[in-house]
Amino acid sequence: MFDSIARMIGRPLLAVNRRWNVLGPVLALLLAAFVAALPWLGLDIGWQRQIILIAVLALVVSGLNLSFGYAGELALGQVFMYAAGAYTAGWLGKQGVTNIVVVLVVAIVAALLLGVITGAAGLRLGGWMLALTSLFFITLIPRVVNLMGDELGGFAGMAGISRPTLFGEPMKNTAFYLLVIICSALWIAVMRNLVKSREGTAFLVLKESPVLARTLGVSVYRTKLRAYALGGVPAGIAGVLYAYLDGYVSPGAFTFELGLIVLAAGILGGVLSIYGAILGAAVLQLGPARLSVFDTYAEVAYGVLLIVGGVLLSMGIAGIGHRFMNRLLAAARHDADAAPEAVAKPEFAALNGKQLEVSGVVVRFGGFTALDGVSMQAKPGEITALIGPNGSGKTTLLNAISGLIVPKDGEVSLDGTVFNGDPKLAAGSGIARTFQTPLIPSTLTVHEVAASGRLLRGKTTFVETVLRLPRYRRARIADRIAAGDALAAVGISSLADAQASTLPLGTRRLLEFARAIANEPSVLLLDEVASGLDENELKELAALIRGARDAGATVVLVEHNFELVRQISDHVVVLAEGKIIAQGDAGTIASDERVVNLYLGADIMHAHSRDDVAEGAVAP
Amino acid sequence: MMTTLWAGLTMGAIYAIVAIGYNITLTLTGVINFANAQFVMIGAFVAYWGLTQNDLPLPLVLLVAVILSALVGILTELIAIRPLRNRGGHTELVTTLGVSTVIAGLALVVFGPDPVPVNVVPTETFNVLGGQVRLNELLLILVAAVAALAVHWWMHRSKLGLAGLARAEDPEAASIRGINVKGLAILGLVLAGAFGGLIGPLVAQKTFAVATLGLVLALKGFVAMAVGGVGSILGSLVGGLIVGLVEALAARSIGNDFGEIAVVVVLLAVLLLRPTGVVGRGQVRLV
Repeated sequence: MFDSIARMIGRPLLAVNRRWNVLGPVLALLLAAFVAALPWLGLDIGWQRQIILIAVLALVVSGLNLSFGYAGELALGQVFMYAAGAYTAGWLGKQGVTNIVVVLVVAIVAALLLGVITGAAGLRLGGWMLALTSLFFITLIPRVVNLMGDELGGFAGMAGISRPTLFGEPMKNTAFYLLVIICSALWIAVMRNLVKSREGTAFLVLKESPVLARTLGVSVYRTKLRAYALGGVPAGIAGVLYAYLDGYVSPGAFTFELGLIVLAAGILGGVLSIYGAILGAAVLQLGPARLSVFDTYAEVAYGVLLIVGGVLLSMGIAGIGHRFMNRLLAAARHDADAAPEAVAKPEFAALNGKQLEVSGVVVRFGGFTALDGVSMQAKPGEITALIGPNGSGKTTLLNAISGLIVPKDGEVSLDGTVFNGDPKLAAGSGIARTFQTPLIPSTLTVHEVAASGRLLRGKTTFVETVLRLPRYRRARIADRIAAGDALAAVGISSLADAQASTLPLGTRRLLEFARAIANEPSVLLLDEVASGLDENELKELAALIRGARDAGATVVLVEHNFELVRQISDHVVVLAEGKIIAQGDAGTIASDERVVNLYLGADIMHAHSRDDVAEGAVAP
Repeated sequence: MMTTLWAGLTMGAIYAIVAIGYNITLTLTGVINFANAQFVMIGAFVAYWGLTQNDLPLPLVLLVAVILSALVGILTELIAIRPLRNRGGHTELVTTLGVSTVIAGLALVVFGPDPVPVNVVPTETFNVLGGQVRLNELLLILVAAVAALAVHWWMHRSKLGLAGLARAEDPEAASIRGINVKGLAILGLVLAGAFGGLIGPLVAQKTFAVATLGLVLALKGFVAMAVGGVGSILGSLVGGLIVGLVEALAARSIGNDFGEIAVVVVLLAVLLLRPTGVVGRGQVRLV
């Protein structure tokens, strides 16, 4: 089906897709303008109210999408921030502050603060602990409100909150309607610019693989906290708008059920989407609210929605749409026919290799000593191979070098800068790596994966990102060029727009290589890049590794395939049981008796009989 | 004062019972079943239907409660947990939250929003250690303690229990060793369901049968589990009693609103200072 549709509308579809970066926002803006104009087109006050309620719910849901959908932590703290926004508006109104700009700013700051405070404790735990703790927090809202006494109106609520003012004038119904639409449109724009940027890529990388995120220099805890706190901002804004809508706030509005509705709307619309929040909010707001039969069964309906949504539509309406479009686009682009092109002589820009120094590194896991005083060097413009039996500590050493593991003793340094156990510093000094099992976030495109190698490069602030200021644009263009070059160097340019999840293993390895190269690394750590590759792929990989070396990088290669090691490495280090037992050039190693006995086995040195090989120490 | 302590211990026993259910499912099935406390609510309403409305004999009512809750447990596994196996993320939390909401919603539709009374044992009041305590309250504390010891013993002595512990440690290795992981997953829900259903009637004599019961107990039971130590059955008992006592004492000595707030303070303190819980040892698992 996809093929036939793609044949019919393939070209215009691809053309639209290429310009979607501009077309999408323009369409969204037109839609927002249309909705904003509805009162003048005769929309009655009842429907205006419905649209306001949809917008308010959509804002809260959008916050959930940011922290749950993008950053991967399920927490319903948004309800808390929503309540904070509403009570901010109510309390400020009581003090005589009604200027809408002031109130919104105060509410946003309050929501951010609350997000940082509640998130700081909850995010240390993560997972379902965080989710359940946040649910528990919601049930506390009435208690806290009641304890504040008359200030917040207690269980009975605060009534008579006067309408907000703009330039000293109280806003009339239509003006308030416009305000709601403008606030919502602005937040959606901020959200879009945020998730379609390095920041958004960092969230997605983090969600799928914290390990990968750390090696790319992303701080797991701080990034999650940022997503969670930012997710509270739209909730805070929504709270303010809600308080002004009826001029009444009471704890009865901020219940567990609201948490359920928000979650159901998020899942229905698709938590991994920007506009899905509006869809989900509209369905839930118009469904249960307008059908009276639904009222009795509302809870049952929400529950069914959560089950069905969780099981079947884990992507939501928007996600299904995305998937459909992606398959259509893939068919139109003929992704299936696209394959990595053999690159005769890969071209890399000059890489500024640095001297890697490992001295006396000790790593222990409980009582087990994985690395026992390992010292080695890797020089720029050389390929250093690390070999040894399974369990000898090769990957542990790579992890120590990339900062994922803090050594108990010893130092890891690059041109004299020590960065023990600091992955951010390691990534910042230009260490890039690949993994035994390629870590490729499935929600990104091939091009985005390559660009994600540069997450740490050229600081851009939050404001620069959201407003798309010149510095952000420059960084983005640099990212795009570097990622494009890296993909071209490994021969997968033709797949740039494909979803990374569709790639076969060999191509994933190439993509990981491209991601590492995109950041112009000084040190390239390759963990068993050859495993699972066929002969042609191996040849190409060898050429790539040589190309990186010739460009000047320091290359460290963990490899079981001794033939490959012999062909390409300048220096070989042999590990066994956490110690270095030999090092030298490949020829020397191949004839070192201890190494042969322990590791290489009779396959390489036919002169030795099988009996010499230590039982159990033979690598597969 | 002693009366407050007895009240706290009683509520603590209820939280412990819910926490034990969580832990059974967590160990055998490998997920937190948010709908776990609804088993207690099902038992509560079966008791209302059987004892209060229809005057049926207690053993029959208990049997119906156990069977119904166990069936709901099986359905939960089949509908909301099995399809998500190996998908990762927090999806089970969303789907079991859905199951929980459906059950609460159905209870609301069938029985309405108001709490209804249930009497399982005679309403006798005793004076024990200088405090007033009812027979059903003493029974609840006893049942929670016995259940915790029994389940703990079963987990660490029986073949099935050990298989469950092995599964919790490493599902892949367990399945290679010939442990029927799918069967255990169902068993985890059946046991937790039957357990909740069986004790639900007794709980209802203290709390009344009400559609919101499951939600309140779900959250407090979770706190009890976290405080006692995730994965530890004896920890559930200790955690439950701590939460119940803290809640009752704070509500009495500081003010009504402070009961739940004190519980949150204890929860946060334990999670930040001793994430393995007061009884738990070693590393936090499954988090």
